[in-house]
Order: sequence, then C-alpha cells, then structure tokens
Amino acid sequence: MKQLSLKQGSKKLKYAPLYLLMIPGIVYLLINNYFPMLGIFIAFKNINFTKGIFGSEWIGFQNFKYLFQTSDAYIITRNTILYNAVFIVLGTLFAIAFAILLNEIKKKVLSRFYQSVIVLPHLISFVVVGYLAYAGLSLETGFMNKTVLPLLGIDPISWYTEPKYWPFILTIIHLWKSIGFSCIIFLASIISIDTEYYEAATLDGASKWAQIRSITIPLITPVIVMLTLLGIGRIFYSDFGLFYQVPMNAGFISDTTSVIDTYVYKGLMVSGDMGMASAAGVYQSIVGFILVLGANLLVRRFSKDNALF
Amino acid sequence: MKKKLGWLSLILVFMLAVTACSGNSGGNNTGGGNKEAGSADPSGSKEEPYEVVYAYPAFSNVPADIQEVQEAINKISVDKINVKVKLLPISNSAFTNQINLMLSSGEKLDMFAMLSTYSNQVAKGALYPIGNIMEANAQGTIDALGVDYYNATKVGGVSYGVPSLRDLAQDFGIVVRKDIVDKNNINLDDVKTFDDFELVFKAVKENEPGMAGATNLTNGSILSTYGIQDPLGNNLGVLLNHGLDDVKVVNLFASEEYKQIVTKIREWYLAGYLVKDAATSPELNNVMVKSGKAASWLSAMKPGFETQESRNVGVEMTAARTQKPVAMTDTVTNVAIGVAATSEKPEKALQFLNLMYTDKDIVNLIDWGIEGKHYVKVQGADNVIKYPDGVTGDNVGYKSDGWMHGNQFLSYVFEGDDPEVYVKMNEFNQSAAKSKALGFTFNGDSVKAEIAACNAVLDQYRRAIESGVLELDKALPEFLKKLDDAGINTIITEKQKQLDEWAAGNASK
Repeated sequence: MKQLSLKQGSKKLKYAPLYLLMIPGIVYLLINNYFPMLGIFIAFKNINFTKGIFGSEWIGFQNFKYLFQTSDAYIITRNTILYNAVFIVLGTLFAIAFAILLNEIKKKVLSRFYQSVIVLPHLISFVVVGYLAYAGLSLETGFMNKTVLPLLGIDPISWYTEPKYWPFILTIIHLWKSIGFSCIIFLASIISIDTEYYEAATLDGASKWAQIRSITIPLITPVIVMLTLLGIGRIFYSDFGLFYQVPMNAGFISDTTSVIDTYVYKGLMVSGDMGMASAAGVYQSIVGFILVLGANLLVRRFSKDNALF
Repeated sequence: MKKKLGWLSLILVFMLAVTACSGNSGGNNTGGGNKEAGSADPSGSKEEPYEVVYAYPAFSNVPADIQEVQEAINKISVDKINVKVKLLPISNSAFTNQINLMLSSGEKLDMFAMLSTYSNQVAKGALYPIGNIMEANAQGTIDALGVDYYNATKVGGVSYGVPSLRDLAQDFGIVVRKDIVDKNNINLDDVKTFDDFELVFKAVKENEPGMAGATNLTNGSILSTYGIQDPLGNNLGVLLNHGLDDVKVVNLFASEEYKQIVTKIREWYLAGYLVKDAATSPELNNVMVKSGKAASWLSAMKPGFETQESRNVGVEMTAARTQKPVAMTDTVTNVAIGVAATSEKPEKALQFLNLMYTDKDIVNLIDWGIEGKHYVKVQGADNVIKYPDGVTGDNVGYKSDGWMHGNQFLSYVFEGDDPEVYVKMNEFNQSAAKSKALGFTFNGDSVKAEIAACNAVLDQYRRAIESGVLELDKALPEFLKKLDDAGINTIITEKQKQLDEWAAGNASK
C-alpha cells in the first residue's frame, strides 16, 4: 500500500516537467477560448455605449427575437444544417477515396504532383473563388452561358436569379476547394498503417478492393469518426467565405444560399448591434454543443472505443 | 538531474522570449511618447494641450505624410484653443466595427465621422449630446450651418452631431456620356420625368450596338440612389414625394408610385435597354461607362455632379435632372461628425470641431495637406489649387475626403472644378425645398428585431426588383408579403407615432 502511494508520488514528480510544459498551452486556452465565454451575457443586454457594457440594461431574450421573426429562421437553419450534412458526408467520402487513390500511386514524384494539384484550391481565397465562379456563371460574359450551354443547345441561364441551381453549385465548389486538405489527414493515417497487413493479405490472395475494405477502412475508422464528430460540432457554423463570396451577395437566391452566418452578417451590417450579433452567436454555440454531445452519445452506443469522450 | 536541468532551461528560454517581446513593445511605446513630448506646445507655461483623437473612414491607404499634416494643424490649434489633434483614418469597411470596439474597450476616442450611421450611433448611446454645450464652445459651427440644418440633427431636442458642410440636399436624375448625347442628338432638355429616361435608352439601343442604355450603381440596382421618398432613416416606412406634401408614413414598396417605377424598369429590361447583369454584377459603374458597355446611370445628384463624375469615369459626362433639390434629415445627417460618449473632455473636442467649420487654414490642411508640398495655388486665382510639378493623384503624400471634414465651403477648389462650385452649393442648400420631416430622426430601438428582419428581406428582393430582372407579377407580391411577415407595419406604426409627437412638439414651439 505504502509502496504504491510512493510510486504514485514519484510518478507525479516524474511528470512534473511535462505538466509545467502544459502551462503555456492551458494559459493560452484560458485566455483565448474560456475567458471570452464570459461575454455570453452581452447577448442578453441592450448595449448602450454611454452606460458601458456592464451598465447597459438586461433585456432577457429580446435580442433573439429577430432570428425567429420570419420564416427566415427556418430557412437559414435548414440551409445551414443540410449544406453541412451534405458537406460532411460527401467531403469525407471523396477525401477518403482520394487519399486511397493517392496512396496507391507508387511513383513518389507523381504522387506529390497530384497531391499538390488537389491541395491548390484550398490555398485560393474565397474572394478569388467568387470571381472565378462569376467568370463561369455571369449572364452576359460567363463561360457557361457563352460556351458550354450553346454547345449543348440550351438557352442561357440567369444563374444568379435562379435559386434551384445553387445547392449544386455550392456543393461542387466546396468539394473542389476542401477535399485536398482533408485528404491529407486521411492520407497521413493510411500511410501509418503497418505494411505487414497488406503483405499478409496479398499472400492470402486478397484483391485490392478487399484490402481497402477490410484493412484500410477499419484501421482509419477512428480518424473518420473523429473528423466527422468535429464536423458535426461545427454543423451550425457555415463556411462564411463560401456562402457570402461565391453567390456574389445576390439577394434573390438567398432562399438556397443564405445560412445563419451570412444572414446575421447582412442583417447586422446595417445596424451593427452587438447584442443581436452575440445572440446569434450564442444560438449557434448552444445548438452546436448539443449536436456534438448527441453525436458522441450515438457513437458511444455503437462503438465505445471510437467515441471522443 | 541532467534531464531536469534540460526542462528548466527550456522553460527559462520561454520566459525570456516572453519578456523580450513585452520589453520590445514597451520600448516602442516610450519612443512614441518621447516624440510627442518633443513637439509639445512651445508656450510652456500653459497647461498641457489636450489631445483630440479624431477617427474617420478612409477610402485609400493611410497617407504617408499624415504625421506632418497633423503637426501643421497642431501648430495652429494649440495656439488658438490649446488642443492637439490626432488624425486616425480607419478603412471604411472596418470603420463601424472599429468604432464599436474603441468605444466598448475604452480606447481613447474623442470625435468621429459617420456615414449614414448617425441615428444608429445615437440610439446606441455612442455619441455625447453636444447640443447642450454647443453654444458655449462651437457657436461658429451653428452659424456656418444655419439654424435649419443644425436643427435637423436634433434627436429628442438635443443635437448629437453636426453634418459636414457640403451638399445638404439632393436632386435626382441621370448622368450620360456627353459624346453619346451629342452624337445621337439626344435633347436632354426633354428629359423631365422618370419615364423620359427612355429617350436616352432608346437612342442608345438604336444607334450604339453593344452598349446598354443604363448600368447599375456599383453594388446597387438600376434605380440606384434615385428616389421619390423621404426615407426617414431606413426606407422602412417613408414619406412619399420626399415628404413635401404631408407627414403620413407609408410603405414605399407597396405604393403605387413605386410599382410604376419598377414596372417601367422591367419594361426597359425586357426591351434590352439595361445591363442584364445589374442585379449581381460587381462591376463599377464608372468602369462600365468608360469601357463603353453602358451609356448612363441614374443617381441622386448635387451641383458639380457632372464634373465629379467626369473625373471618376475619365470621359466627359453630362446630366439631366428630373426632380427639384430637396433636403431631408437623411441628406443632412448622412455625413456627420460627432463627439464620442467616452470622450474625456467633450468641450475640447467641440472646440476643435469648431475650427473645422471656421478656420480656413485648418480646413485646407485636413482636406488638401500642406501648401507647396501637396498642392500649389494656380496662378491668378486665390482659391483654385493643383498638384505641384511631378506630383499626381497617385503619388501625392496626403489625400483626404474634403466632404467629410467640417466646412468644405472653406476649402480650395481643385483645378478643373468650377471655381464657384461651393458658392453654388451653398445656394443649392439654401434654395432646396425642405421635407416636412426635416429634423425628425427615427429611434428604432423598440422595433430593432423587426428592422433587422425587414433589412434581410430588402436585401433579398430589392436589388433584383429594382434592376428589372424579375417577373413583377410574382416577385412584387412575394416581396410585400415577406415584408409584412417581417413586421414592416409595426415599424411604420412606431415611426408614425414618433413623427406625430415630433411634429406636435414643433408646432407648440
């Protein structure tokens, strides 16, 4: 008994430098991530600069009212969740597929080359992407309307006033831009798989497809689950650049392009009300938090090892 | 033991790095302080001059010589009122946010300029009620503005800011490329109403292949800033006919007049008179016109508008006006300067503000920079200036937007502009018709949820409808329904109530 506690004590001592090393990280987290959480109270105040932030009056949930004022609340919530759900599913699928394909390329030079090409879009600013899309979709000068559609014998389409095309346009652009980066993460975990598994499988006569299905996928499942969980946690946060820059701020298609972030941004650009902006932030965080907990609970149900906590 | 030493030394290195960083910034600070102390007032015996921090939106980079200009201003202002100024240009796109942050974090800020945000800033309590100490500290400003226009800034009986002295009214019409007008014998005198714009469009369509009759305003619609209403702050509940007739608040978008206008625009769109991409195009209107893709655009105007736009476009422009000049609260307060609620000595800020309305030297320093370096006088004219030899608009060391900083009428006229432009502008201001609601500022605090929701609807429909790209039979009712759902009628009721109270208060005075 005594020996055990002694052992524990020495363990503590042994790890002390490591704990010390942790301090900067924790301080950073506290300052950057935890301390600002106190600001949540701003969402319940009517900010008046003369009275100061702390002196302003409390107004309960009034700042949240505008979010639910119209059917817009439903539309933007639906758009946010559906787009992100599609992004998570398709994004993961494509990223894994690309990672596996890249891994199969044995020529180092070629593999590097392809990888760079796939990652390149990730490095382009969304402002530029917006204009690239505009070059393709513009009514008078766009590539689609000037070249592609006439070839197919279709009349020009006014893309920026037709809401129905945008779910596809945005999904394609998102995948094009994001796959390269997420595929690197999967590629890293695939590379770290011990090659002996594959050698053994090859000896047993397993086909490439069987190897992928029974070795690669199961072994990278933890990574997939973790990335998906993280994705779900952010399901209420949309890629602002994508949804704001790419539709070129065209109002009329907002039924399919408006998400919570852009809605709040546009609505509050005019009034610049801190309370209302914070209210939207709080709404997003709380729903996001619930979704992470829920998703994690589900994962734990099915495979305890893969759950985050 | 050795291992432990390793860890310790690592931590030490970290700590050193941290202290080195903070030490660095500290050094910088004191450096700046010393510099300021060096240029402090020479009179010595007087108390230390108060420094007024003046923030304003900037549309280009911070000028290289701003420090020099600031020192030149300080030389005058310390002498006169023992106040120094710190010019703080902030990029326009970040301006409102930055001001919010400065106010809430308690960063030093005494005075700032506002572009169309005056009533919002008042509602948020960002401004010091300068009306209470105005007479004592800045009577010259009131005199320069004239009582009518000064009163237009009052909210609940107190003024929170003053408009810069520039065009305080607007008229409306169309600006067209002059060569197109001349070539096709378009008689602009015949353009007297909104519908008459068709004369221009038709001639362009028939004679200028590849050129549209009109383009949209950058990031705006074809209708652009052309209007028939007194927007009463936010266009949600307006007075028709610029408020010249009565004080009945109505929904502009549901009005017959609005319908006529957008129906006409739709007709023009279908006839091929307008730029097709108008509802989304990010092109600048001046670029569109210069490159020959369009001949004109609609706009709110002022005296000298043609020369201003000729310079912007790079091609000579001419204009036809279809409405008489009218002054509304919005046209007065859309460029205003106020004293921050957090200012330590509002009266000092106000005294400096007063110099910006009364002191010709200060105005020209802020607007144009230092004589001989950033501009020189044109020979034979005492209020016309030009760039010195070798200096152009691109490489001049100091640039600023004169319409924003106090009394523009005191500033020099740049070569090429009508030397009499400010005299004319003053006449324009004095002769303009005045909206019955001039001086009324709406306080939207109690309906801000509705305003935010309605703004989202406007954002969705307005540009497309006012550019003619939508089938109106379907889009207009949809638009109105959404506005109703968003609560525009609540806003209108509240606005009418406040307006009635304001009008009653005025009558009893």
